[in-house]
Amino acid sequence: MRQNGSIQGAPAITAAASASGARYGFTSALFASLAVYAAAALWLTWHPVALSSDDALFFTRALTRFSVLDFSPQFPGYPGFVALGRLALSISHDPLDALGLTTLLITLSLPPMAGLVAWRVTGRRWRALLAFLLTLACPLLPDMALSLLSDASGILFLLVFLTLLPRNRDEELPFFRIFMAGVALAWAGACRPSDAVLLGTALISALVTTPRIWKPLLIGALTVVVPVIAVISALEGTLYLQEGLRFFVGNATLWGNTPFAAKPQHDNWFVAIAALPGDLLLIGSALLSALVAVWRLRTSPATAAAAFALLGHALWIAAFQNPDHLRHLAPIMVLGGLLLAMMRFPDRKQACFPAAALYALAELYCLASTTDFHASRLPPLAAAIAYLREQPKAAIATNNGVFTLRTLLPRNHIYDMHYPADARLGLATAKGPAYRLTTTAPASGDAAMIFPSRFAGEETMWLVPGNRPAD
Amino acid sequence: MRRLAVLIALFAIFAGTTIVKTVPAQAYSYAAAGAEPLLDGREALFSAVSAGNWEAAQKAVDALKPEFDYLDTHEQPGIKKAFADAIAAKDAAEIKAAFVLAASAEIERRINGARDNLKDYQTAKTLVVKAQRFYTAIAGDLPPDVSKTVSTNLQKALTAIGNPGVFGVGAKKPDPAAFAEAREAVLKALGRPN
Repeated sequence: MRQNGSIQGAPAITAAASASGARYGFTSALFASLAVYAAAALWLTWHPVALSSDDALFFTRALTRFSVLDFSPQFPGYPGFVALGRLALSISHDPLDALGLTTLLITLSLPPMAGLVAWRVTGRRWRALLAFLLTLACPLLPDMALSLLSDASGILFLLVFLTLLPRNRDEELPFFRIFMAGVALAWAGACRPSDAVLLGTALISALVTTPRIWKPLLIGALTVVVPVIAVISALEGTLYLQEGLRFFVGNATLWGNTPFAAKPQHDNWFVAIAALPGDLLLIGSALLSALVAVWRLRTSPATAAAAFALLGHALWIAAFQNPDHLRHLAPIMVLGGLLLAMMRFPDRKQACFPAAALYALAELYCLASTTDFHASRLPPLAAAIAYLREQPKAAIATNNGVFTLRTLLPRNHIYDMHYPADARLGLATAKGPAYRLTTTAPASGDAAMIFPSRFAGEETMWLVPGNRPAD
Repeated sequence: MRRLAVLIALFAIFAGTTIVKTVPAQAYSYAAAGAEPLLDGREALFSAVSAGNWEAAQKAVDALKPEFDYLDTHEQPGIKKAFADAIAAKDAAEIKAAFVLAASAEIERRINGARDNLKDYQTAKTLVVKAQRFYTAIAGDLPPDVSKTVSTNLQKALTAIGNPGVFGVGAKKPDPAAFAEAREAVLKALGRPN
C-alpha cells in the first residue's frame, strides 16, 4: 500500500515542486527586472535637463503662459500635457525642471503600464513581465524621457485606455470603468493631439469589437473633450483654426532639413528606419505582430485596439510626418512589443517567445549601437549653445532651434535657414565669424565642431564655418 | 492564412506608396510668413541680391509695390527711395537695412492697431502676433540689445491684452497702461519716432 501510495503521490510532488520552482523563478526574474528598471531610471535621472529643440522651449513657456498663437506652446497646444507640466511646476517651481520631471515620470510609467495591459488581457504574469521588459528596452525610451516633448504622454494614456477595456468581448464591466477608459483616451488626445490617428483607430477598433461600450466610452471622452475645446476656443477663437491650417499644410507638405542641402537628411521613412541599427527588424516585427492580431479576428478588444492603432499610426507617419524625427516611431515600437508579449497561438508549441526574444535582441542591439551611456552630456543643441556662448560676435544660420538660440544667445545674430536667401545674405554681411548649425554632415568634413547625439531619436549637429551651401 | 496574406499585401501596397515616395524638401518654419506679402516676397529679393542679379532684385521690389506704396504714404516716408537707392548702388547691406526699416514700420503699424483695438481681444492679439512675425523676420539683423528689447516687450504687450477667460472664468482685463509702456519700448528700440 505504502509502495502504491508513494508511486501515486510522485506526480503530485513533482507538480508541486515544479509550481514552487516556477514561482521562485518568476520572483527572481521580477526582482532582476525591477533592478534593471531602477538602474535605467537612475541613469535617465542623472542626465542634465536642457532644451533640445524649439518645441521644448515652447512647452516651457506654456507652463507659465498658455497661448498657441504665440507659440506657448506650438499648435495644436497639447493642453493635457501642459496641464501635467503645470502640476509638476507646483513642485519644482522652475518650468524647465518641471518639464523634465513630467517627461521623465511619464516615460518611466510606460513599462509598468504595458505590463499591466498584458496582465489584464492575458492573465499571465510572465507575459506581463515580458511586456514590461520589451517596453523598457525600447530604443526611443531615453529620447522620450529627456527630449522634454509630449510623445510618451499620448502612449501612456493609450495604455491606460487599453487596461480599462473589457478582457474579452463578453466580459461585463461596470459603467464607471468604461467611462474612465473614455476619459483616458480623450486625455491621451489632449496630451498629444497630433496622435489623433493613433488614438482614433484605437477607439474605432474598440467600438467595432465591443459595440455595447459606446455610451459610457463616449460620455467619458466628452467629459474631457468638451472643456478642452471650450478653453482653447475661448482663448484663441477662430484664429486657432487659421493657425491650425497653416501649421498642418506646413507640416504635411513643406518640411525639410536644410534648404542649403535642398533635401532632408532622410529621403523617406524606409531610409530613416534602415539607418537605425536593427530598426528594420523591430518595425517589421511590430507591423507583422499587428497584422497577425488583426488577422485573428477573435482577439480581445485591447489587442485589437493596439493592433489597429499601430497600423493606423504607421500609415499616418509614413504619409504626414518628417522622417528626420524618429521619435514618431515610438508608439509603433511600444505597441509592437506589447502585442508580441500578448500574442497567443492556437498551437501551444508555436510560442511567441522566440519572436519576442528576437524583438528584444533587435531592441538591445539598437540601444547599444545608438546610446552614449555617459549620463553627463548635454543634448546637441544645448552643447552647441554652450560652445557658441563663448563667441558673442558670431552670426549663426540654422533651422534647428532658431527660437532657442535667439533666447539663449541674445548677443549673437541668429538667422532662420528656412529662409535661405535671407540667412545667406545675413551671414555674408556678418561682421564677426559666420557659421551654419546643421544636422547634415558636411561632405568635405570641415566642421568647426561636432555635437554628437546621445541616443536614437536625437540628431547630431555640425557647426560649419562660412557661408557656402551645404555639401 | 490566406486572410493574413491579403492583409499584408494590402498594407504593403498602401504603406509602400507613402513610405518610399521621395518627399520634396521646401522651406517651413514656425516663423512662416502666412499671408504677408512683404514677408513672402523677401526671399525672392534676398535671393536675387545674394546672386548679384540686380535686375531680378528690382523685379522683386516691383512685386512689392502695393506694400511699399502704403508704407511710403502712411508709415515710412522715403522707404521706396531707400530701396531704389540701394538697388542703384548695388549694395546688399543697404537692401537689408531698407528691409529692416520696412519691417519696423509694419511692426509699428500692427502694434498701433492693437492699441486702438485693445478692447477687442481677438483683433488685438492677431495684430501683436503679426508684429511678432515681422520682428522674427528681422531678428537676425537687429543689434542684439535691440532684438532682446523688442522681443521682451512684444511678449509684455501680448500679456497686457489680457484674455476673455473660459465663459468669463479666469478672465483678465486688458491693461492699457502696461500695453502703452510695452509699445513705447518696442518703438523706441526700433528707433521709431513716437
